[in-house]
Amino acid sequence: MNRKKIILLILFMVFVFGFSNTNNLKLEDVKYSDYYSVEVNGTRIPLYYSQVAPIAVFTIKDEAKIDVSWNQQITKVEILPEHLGIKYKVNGNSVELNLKGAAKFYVKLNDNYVYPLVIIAHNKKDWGINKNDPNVKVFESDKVYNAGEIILNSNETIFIEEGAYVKGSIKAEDAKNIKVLGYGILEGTMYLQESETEAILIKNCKGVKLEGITSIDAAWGNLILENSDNISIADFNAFGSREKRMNDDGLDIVASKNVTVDNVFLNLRNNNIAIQANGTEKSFVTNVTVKNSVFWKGDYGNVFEFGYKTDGLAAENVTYKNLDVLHTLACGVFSFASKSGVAKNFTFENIRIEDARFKLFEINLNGKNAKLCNVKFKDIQLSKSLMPYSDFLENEGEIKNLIIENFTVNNVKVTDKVEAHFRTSEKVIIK
Amino acid sequence: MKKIILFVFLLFVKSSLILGQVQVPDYPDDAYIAADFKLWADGKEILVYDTPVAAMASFCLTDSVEIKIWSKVSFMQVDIRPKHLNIISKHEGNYLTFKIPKNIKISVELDKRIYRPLLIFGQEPINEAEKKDADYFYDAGKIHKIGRVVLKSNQKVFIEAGAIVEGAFHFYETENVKIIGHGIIDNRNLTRKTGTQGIKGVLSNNFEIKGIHIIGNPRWTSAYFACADFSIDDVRIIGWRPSDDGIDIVGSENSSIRNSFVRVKDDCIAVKAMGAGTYDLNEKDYSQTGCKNVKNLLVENNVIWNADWGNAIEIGFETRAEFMEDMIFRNNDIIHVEANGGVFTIHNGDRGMIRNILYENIRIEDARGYLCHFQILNSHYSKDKKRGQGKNIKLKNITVSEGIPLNSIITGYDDEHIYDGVYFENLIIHGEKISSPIEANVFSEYAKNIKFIE
Repeated sequence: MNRKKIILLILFMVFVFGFSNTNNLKLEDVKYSDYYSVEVNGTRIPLYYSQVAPIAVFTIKDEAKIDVSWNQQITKVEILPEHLGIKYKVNGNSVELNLKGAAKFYVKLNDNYVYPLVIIAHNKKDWGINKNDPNVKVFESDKVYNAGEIILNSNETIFIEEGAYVKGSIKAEDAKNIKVLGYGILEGTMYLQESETEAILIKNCKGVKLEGITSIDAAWGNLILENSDNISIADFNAFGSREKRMNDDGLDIVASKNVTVDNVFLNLRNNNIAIQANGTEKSFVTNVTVKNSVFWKGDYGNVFEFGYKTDGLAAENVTYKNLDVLHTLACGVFSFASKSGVAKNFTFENIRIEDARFKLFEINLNGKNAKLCNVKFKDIQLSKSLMPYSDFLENEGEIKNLIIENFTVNNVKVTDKVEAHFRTSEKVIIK
Repeated sequence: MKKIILFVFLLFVKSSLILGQVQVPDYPDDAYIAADFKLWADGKEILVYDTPVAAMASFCLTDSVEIKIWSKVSFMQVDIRPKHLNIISKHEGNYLTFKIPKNIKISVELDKRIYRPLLIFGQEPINEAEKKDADYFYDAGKIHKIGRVVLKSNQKVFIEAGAIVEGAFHFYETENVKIIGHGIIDNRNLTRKTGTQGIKGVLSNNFEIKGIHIIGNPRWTSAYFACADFSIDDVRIIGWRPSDDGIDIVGSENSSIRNSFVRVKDDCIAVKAMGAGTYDLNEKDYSQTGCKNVKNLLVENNVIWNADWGNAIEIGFETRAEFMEDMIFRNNDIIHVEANGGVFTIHNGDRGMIRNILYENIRIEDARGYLCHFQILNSHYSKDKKRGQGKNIKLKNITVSEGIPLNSIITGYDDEHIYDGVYFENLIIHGEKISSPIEANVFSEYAKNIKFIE
């Protein structure tokens, strides 16, 4: 290759790189919502548009006064999850809230469950990012990026600063020691559903840290972990689709192990968290913990799903604890839908469910190799809800040692299966 | 003459035992009979038919009767829907008694266990003369495995009360078909591969479907493509299987659905414009049949229960025609919409202009999804590249009497494909009259003239 060609190639690469990774969009290219108006300590902040809720994302030092205004008289306020105990004051068309620190919650006004407001208030955080480090890809605050697919290689970090808005997706494959950090937005409207582009795909990776990111309108799953190991997910938020996307799962744990999920906030049409097989003859999911998180699910899928892809899947040592399920319109909260997968040593503990309208437990084993063994549901609290019903269908599979302990409905303990609306439950022990 | 009288008498007795005002259906010995409910009408025991989602007692009566129910599971509280019938019951131990008038379709629900209701259908007897000229007659006390029967013009099917038929009746390019009787088409043992629509009409006119039960169909339960001038009356549908739409009116005109009961997993009543598929007996292609305008549909006096999927009263998603218009849905009871479905839904997924739709005098009891879910969208069912529109949709005298205050979504596709004119008149939610879209929690985009009128 002669010198001229090399220069031309370099110029071409700079041209392409320039248009794919730098800020060639303006803030006006971000879709905002004016359904509500939100002020933080007297300053109005923009609300990011998503199909399921407008989202306010900001950081605070310690305390903050939040004013939410709407275009009608407010007659009912719900701050969800309720147990956060956030105090509020109503004044005509506005609500004043006082935050004492970081919090993620919904402001639901006058029973509006179609378009509640989401507040994500972070604490200021020093991410320890060296922007000059060649292994750090920085997306800066107050900029909009038409990034497309961002590849994350071993030892690299993607940092999406608070206020940065990245249109695109992140993909890491066969990588080690990778990080995706920051309070910025990752948005997927550039992809058609048919492209099946995940917002974040982590495949065959080891040593993954993901913290702070908010994903909006992913075309096909928000965060997919496949054949990966040693993964820490914290403070991840995802807001999906009301109508355009069918497969907007929040977090799919596919044949992966040693996964910790903490403080995630998901509002999706489909599964919030799904444990699945990877399509090979045998796949394993082990040592998963999901804790301190908030869920909201629309019309497909389930909140906590084992399935439907379960061929050859063996999952064990999975713990869900201290979680809030705020709203689920259809399907189930706890679902095991398996043709041949084996789920062993699953614990669901301290789960507060505020509005489950259809099914609570949806367990359906559809093949002789499907097994559920040592599955414990403890301190399951159902409140403010119509009484959903439940199915535990063993069919050709096997349910062994499935225990429900301390199941309460509106603070009343239920131990009778008929009273619990368990339609088919021969193998269930309720105590 | 005596012989004729005796014959007619025996014919009548064979189909159902006449006991005073009540005719008791004579089911075959191996019918599915529920073990957890017993029912007596005027003191005569009626066998309770079993399905996975409901027990069902269906019988004929000539006047109001006293009903007594025994439930294996004890109970404290009772809901008898539709509630506006105001049926007062007396509860003693595991027994419940109340009186019903004739021509009634009710759901008796104990302790809110809506997954195990007892459905009671009490109807006037069908004129016995209808049996005489039936081309296909299915007598009581038997299970008839018929496969798919293809009807020709002017043919009549009679399914006696107490008869159980496994199979389907289809008719293509016919006139004057009639399917009548109080028997049961029960297709629970058929699969999606071995089963088909329980009743399917294509390019047919002047037909009547009356009185029958269709249970557990593995596909759309009944569907009518590019048909005209037909009536569906007093039909009872119980389904629990995926894609088991109750009644699909597809590219058809001048049709009515009256006095029926539909409880299915998917859409209860769906109005569409789409193809009818290929007719595999003569390999004739009907893939575009049904992509026709829909006009003049009347849906009245029905009891509707939408379960896991779909919606109660749906227009869409397939709207592959120029117009879908002039439809009236009135005096219907929506007793349950269990999941995310809507009560009134228009999913305009293709190019159709949907206009002049009236929902009137609809009583909604337990609905958990949406009141209105009107969308213009490019959905996974869409085939047209062009998007449609919606215009002049009126909801008048709508009451939501219990459950969650329902939200609504009215969203067009873009600036040119919108909902223009959605009018609410006398919307009552939990006893309070609603007077604005915001008060009704209507979320709208690409829509205009959403108005509450006096």
